[in-house]
Amino acid sequence: MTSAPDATPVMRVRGLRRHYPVSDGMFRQKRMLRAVEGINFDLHAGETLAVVGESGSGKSTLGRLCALVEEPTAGTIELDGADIARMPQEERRTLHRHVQMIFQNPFGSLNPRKTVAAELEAPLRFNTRSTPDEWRVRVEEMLVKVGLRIEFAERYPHMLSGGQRQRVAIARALMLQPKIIVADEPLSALDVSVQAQIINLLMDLRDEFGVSLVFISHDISVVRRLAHQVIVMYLGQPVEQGPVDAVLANPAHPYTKALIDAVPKVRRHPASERIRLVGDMPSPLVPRVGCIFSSRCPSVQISCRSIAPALEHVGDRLVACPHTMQIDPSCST
Amino acid sequence: MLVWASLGANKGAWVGCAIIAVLVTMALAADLISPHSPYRQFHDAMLRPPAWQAEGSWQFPLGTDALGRDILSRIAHGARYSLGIGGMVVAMAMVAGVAVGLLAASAGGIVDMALMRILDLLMAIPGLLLALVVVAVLGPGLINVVVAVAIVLIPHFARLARATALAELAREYVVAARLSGAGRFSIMFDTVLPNCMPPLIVQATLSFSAAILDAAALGFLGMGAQPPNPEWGTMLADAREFILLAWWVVAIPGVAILLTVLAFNLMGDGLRDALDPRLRSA
Amino acid sequence: MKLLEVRNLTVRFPTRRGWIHAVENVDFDLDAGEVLGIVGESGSGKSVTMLAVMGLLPPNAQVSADRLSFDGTDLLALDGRQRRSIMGKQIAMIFQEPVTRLNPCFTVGFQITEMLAAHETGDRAQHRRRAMELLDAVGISAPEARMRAFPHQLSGGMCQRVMIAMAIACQPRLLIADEPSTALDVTIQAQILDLLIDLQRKRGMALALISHDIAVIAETAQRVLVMYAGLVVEEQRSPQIFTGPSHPYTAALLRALPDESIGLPRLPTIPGSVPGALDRPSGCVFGPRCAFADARCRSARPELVQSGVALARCFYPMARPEGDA
Repeated sequence: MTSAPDATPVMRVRGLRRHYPVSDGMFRQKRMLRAVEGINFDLHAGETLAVVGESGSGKSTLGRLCALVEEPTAGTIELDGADIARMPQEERRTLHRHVQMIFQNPFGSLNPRKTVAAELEAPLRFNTRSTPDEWRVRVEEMLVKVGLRIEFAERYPHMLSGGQRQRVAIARALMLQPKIIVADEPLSALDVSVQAQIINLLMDLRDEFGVSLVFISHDISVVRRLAHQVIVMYLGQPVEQGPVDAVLANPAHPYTKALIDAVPKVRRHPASERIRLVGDMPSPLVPRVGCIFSSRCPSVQISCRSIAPALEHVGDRLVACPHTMQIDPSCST
Repeated sequence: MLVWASLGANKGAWVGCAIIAVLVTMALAADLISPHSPYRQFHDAMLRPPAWQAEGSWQFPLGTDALGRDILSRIAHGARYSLGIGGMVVAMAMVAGVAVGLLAASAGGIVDMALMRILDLLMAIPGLLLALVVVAVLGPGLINVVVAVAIVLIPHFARLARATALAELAREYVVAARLSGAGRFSIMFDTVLPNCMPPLIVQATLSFSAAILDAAALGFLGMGAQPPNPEWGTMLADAREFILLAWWVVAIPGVAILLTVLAFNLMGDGLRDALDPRLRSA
Repeated sequence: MKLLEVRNLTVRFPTRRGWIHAVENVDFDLDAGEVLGIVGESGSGKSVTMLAVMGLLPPNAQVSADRLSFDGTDLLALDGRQRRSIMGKQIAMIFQEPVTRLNPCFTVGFQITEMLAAHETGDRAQHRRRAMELLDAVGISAPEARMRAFPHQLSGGMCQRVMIAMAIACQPRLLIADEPSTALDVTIQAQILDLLIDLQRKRGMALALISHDIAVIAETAQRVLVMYAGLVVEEQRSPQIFTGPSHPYTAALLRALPDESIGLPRLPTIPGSVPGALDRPSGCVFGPRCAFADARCRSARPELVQSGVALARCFYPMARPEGDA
């Protein structure tokens, strides 16, 4: 996948952090849940950035921050050059037409008491000055674009299959022609055969509308298909970041390697090594010393437990591990 | 929809519905059913037993009371009072309670806490006592009874509305609605409230019977509808002294109250069963 | 003698609109010590099949089979007590979402020892020791401390290990794993699957692994059953089934995987969606979505036929690509 041409990024994120104070009981001091810690990226028009990680990695929180559903604790989010992270509530509301979101649970993201038409008209109702008839026309146009027949407009969510609901969710996100769509695991709840349909749909719509995608997923194979750039997150921090083909074919960080290897494959490369992580992810509440991955890293060294590595340029990407071997282009997973 | 189908299957709900239908008809057609005016006193026919008894006659099918008034006519007209009171109380309590509950859920923080503590206080006082206090302050009379009983029921609606609203606010389609540009009010009334309705409807049906009982109790204590109004509780109050002499003056209004309360409870249970599975799947 | 023999298993549920056949005419065998993978999408009936074997279906389910036997014992003819002596002891099952499958009110240690007390003789101290051995066998470090933990205090992966410990406690001959790793993170999933295969090998258990993820089946199973809309559509050994699928559905499913279409601009998809239990087509269940269906496929339902080394429910099973063993 080639990158989009260089221009002003549609979204620029610097030093993004999101901490939640968690109380330990009334009389104990509050602890900090560092959900997102220090994310930086540039997202260009038409580009797809994948955020990959497991539960507790902070990828969903990052998605909500980008979609302006939550306010960051620190850092900046620039949309077309203007810092939007800390705008007042009222102004933030108008920004929603530029950044929309698709959720994981197709049923949960649609109001069970609203018809498809009502759900799709809502963005138009709140943001434009057109008439109900014009809304109807737009709704029908969009239904066709996402591959649903027009009579679906009168249906309720419980009359639709998972794939159909997700198409409605995609249609809703596109109604205002946003610049960016944050997709939080939109395929996880769907059957494999339906996933393929939705992936194709996303690719088609992305090309047609020129929309940038922030694609959050734990599914490496889908990411390989859809994304241009990828950020791999672990416990809120980015551990590897770069062009998707390079990172996934030739991972540098031990966590990325383990993640890619852990994904079951129908055809496994005979020479690939089986990397298995030991133990569970540590609690995000416990303060960390040294590298966050040191407790489970298969190639951990003594210095890892005391020195927290920074995200540094290594070749064509950023890696948070000083011990990566030279990236060998002839290796592949 | 699915709801009607499950409701239809519930026998109890059918019975409840049937009784309520009879009551409503009775209330609406009271003038047609009643053989006499509920206020007319027949001085030569005082404390006549019901028609099926030895000294009864079909002129007064359910007998007469101590002032010679036809009990059937009074029951029929009394239905208007009971159903009317029940309806008004529930309407008032629901509107006020839901408003308070939604406000608490959406505001959160101090506002939520303050409102909840006030409601806790109201709920800590026994219902009838609280109603009595309110009526004592406002004075006896039908409207004041309605207000008093409504105040007693408001905390239940408020807590239920708040709990369901909090659950709904956490749903993804609320976030989606916000992303579509909906403002706070729009989210509350357009998105959240309709999804909170099922448990509130069940609560309303069950509160109907509580309202009728409380109003009847107040009437019995002399604080409710004043005589000669044929409200069932007031009828019971008038008949207190005649329990041993003329059982029908007490029993018949009592049975009327019993059947009404039973009917609404059956309906409420049926509704809850019919609406619950949908709640779980939604 | 086969460990598990299933012939013509049909499970149906009564609904207001008639009978729903969750599973129809399912035949398969399982040998002692074998790993069988059952793969299918939602509505395929893969879970219902195994729940029927265990007798865990709701009371309104109607289970019928020509033969449903475990180690020679007819499972359909058992009464409650006989069934309870087999289930948990000789056949064990683990499920998806382990945290919700454990009783939240009791510690993990209590639940394991309760399991042992139900099926094995011995006093409490012996059961406790056994429980700690089991926790160790499933890779839980510091078992002493873990015994006192409640399920909500443990991670998903940890809970699944506890469930596996409970399942293998009585040395079952058959372990059924219904989507054991689906709700878990990828790295934990890999650990759990490794654990299952490891235990299977060490203890000589038969393992029936159910998953919607065909890659999980590819990495673990020796023989694969593909189910679609309540029917078995293909049965073949692994890895041959992945290089030479016999049924068009299996082939389409493999082609739809994102990794299989690297060079193509779009993913090949299976048009349409899985039929609901009430709108199963007459004729071949996969017919409406199959690229190769003809009039015969639309009018008659194919039987499971031998096609080379595979069994396929198709009038025109696919041939193996040339040059494959």
